[in-house]
Amino acid sequence: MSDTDSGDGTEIEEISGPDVEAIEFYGGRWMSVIPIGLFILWAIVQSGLFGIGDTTGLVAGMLVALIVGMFFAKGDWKNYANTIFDGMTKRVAATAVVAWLWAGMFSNTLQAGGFVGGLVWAANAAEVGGALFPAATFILAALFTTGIGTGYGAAVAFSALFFPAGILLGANPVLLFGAILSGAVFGDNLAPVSDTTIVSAVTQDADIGGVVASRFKYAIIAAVLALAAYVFAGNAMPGLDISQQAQDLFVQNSEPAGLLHLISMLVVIVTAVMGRHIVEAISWGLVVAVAFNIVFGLAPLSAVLLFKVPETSSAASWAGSLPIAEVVAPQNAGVTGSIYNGAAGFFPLIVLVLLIVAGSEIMIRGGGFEAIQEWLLENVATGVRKAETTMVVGTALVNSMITINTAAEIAIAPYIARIGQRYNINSYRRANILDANTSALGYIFPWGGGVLIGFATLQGLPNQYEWFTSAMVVNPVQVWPYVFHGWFLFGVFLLSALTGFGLEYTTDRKSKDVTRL
Amino acid sequence: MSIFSKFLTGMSFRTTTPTFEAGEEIEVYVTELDEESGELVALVGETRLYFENGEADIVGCRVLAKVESFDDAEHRGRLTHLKTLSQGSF
Repeated sequence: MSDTDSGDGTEIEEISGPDVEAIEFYGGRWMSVIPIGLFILWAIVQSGLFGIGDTTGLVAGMLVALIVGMFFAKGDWKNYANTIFDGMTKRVAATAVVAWLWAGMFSNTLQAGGFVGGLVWAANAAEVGGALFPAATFILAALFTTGIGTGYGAAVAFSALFFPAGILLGANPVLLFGAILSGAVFGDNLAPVSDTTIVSAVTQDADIGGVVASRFKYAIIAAVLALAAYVFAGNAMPGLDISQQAQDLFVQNSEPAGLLHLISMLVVIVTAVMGRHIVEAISWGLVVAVAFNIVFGLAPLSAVLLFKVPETSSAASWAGSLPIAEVVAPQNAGVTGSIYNGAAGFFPLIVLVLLIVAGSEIMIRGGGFEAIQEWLLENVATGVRKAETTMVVGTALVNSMITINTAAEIAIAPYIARIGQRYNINSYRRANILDANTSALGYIFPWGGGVLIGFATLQGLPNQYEWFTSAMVVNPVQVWPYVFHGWFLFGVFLLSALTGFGLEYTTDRKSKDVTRL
Repeated sequence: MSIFSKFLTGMSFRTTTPTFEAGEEIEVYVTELDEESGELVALVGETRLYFENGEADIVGCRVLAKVESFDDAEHRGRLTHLKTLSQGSF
């Protein structure tokens, strides 16, 4: 942090960041793109070509890419190494990391409390048939994802519970899988606790509550169109002929009490809209969720936190009597529960994001970022409409290549900020363009992380139900045209960019502090 | 701004050339240093706002500025740089 005189008697405030030292590369400034470029190539090969949706594998790719890039750096490599440190300690990354950890704990605690079961019960009570089941699934998956903030979590939960139920009711399987992914897109885009929402806001200097409110109009337009499409297609596309007892499956998984967690969700959303800090808002939601689990018997305290004490421990004699401990064989010792699992689920993504930000920092100090930006601004984004269209299509393209949507979002975020700030496009609008297309494209293409996670869950169903055959599993290649909300959301933003619908300038309104919801 | 208006703001088709009033104080990102005139410029959409003061090192920064004059027909205005608030996001 430094205060600088601008030369005309005015004071520069809040200029942040260390004194940057440029890195020179053999072959010129374009060579500084190597770490990020190599990582994108790795991501395409790993997830697109080989079909491996492993985030830790991408971490390995980014590490290799950073090492390879170092060999092209001129002079003392200490500068290159220090740049990695500087990138990894940027506030933009740290803010996202904190938010993910809190959001992970919260969403896992809701799942432990049977929230999905409650939603299934509601669908059953409403007597939704096979033709309308995809539309109902879209609505419920959207609500669920909006509450918990993780589309990947929704894809897993709904593929495991709603998919077999829908098949038994006579819903078309491809349409049903598309509806689940569409719901994930909706929530990932709109939820205040979604990782993509958080990244889009913090990278564009916008407060999360304002971002969510400002993107509501786009999300609802796309959702209404998608809902109509699912109702129409649900009646037009036949389901599989299975004469099994659908009600049995519903009853087996239905627990109306799980709907109590709608209140936990509301606590976070209302606290968010009131403008409280992200850590505070989610913490309140977590406290309410844990209390509901215990008071209403939705899940024991041990489901939230459990110490698995080895029987060889000196505390084994009394630890077993505690509600949050059990004595186990030494090889099973450890800690578990929704707080532990919810946070731990984000660890690989956290490391990956820190490394990607480091790679971006190298590209910035090496001049590659500037070179790409100059090219875009001089040749593509030559007016505000073209700039916005470039932002929409560019975000979509990067997300079609990097399948972990949050990672893709972070990689493209600096360009959205620079291009948008050049034309003084409001931070809310930039965040909305960035997140909508990230959320949409991450669940459409067959190699997308969200699609692969849902597909992996479907592959486990034949082992779970006798009647479920491998032929009922939807191949990711089949589903991409039916992720209606994703396509409509992309279309809404493309039209918005071309026509100026929803466009706001920095002079129109100010965002609040970026670290507030 | 009320919660309701947070949701409704921006529900319109916005022009590429917004207008401003003399005396208005605005926050803008400084876009570039115009090589021909040697003046700092902030593009708001395709409206060009020229700074009457300020150094080249604030290009890319978010600044507080006062609108001194504005030509609606040409979509051009003149600004006085009051304070530099922050650097751009990246």
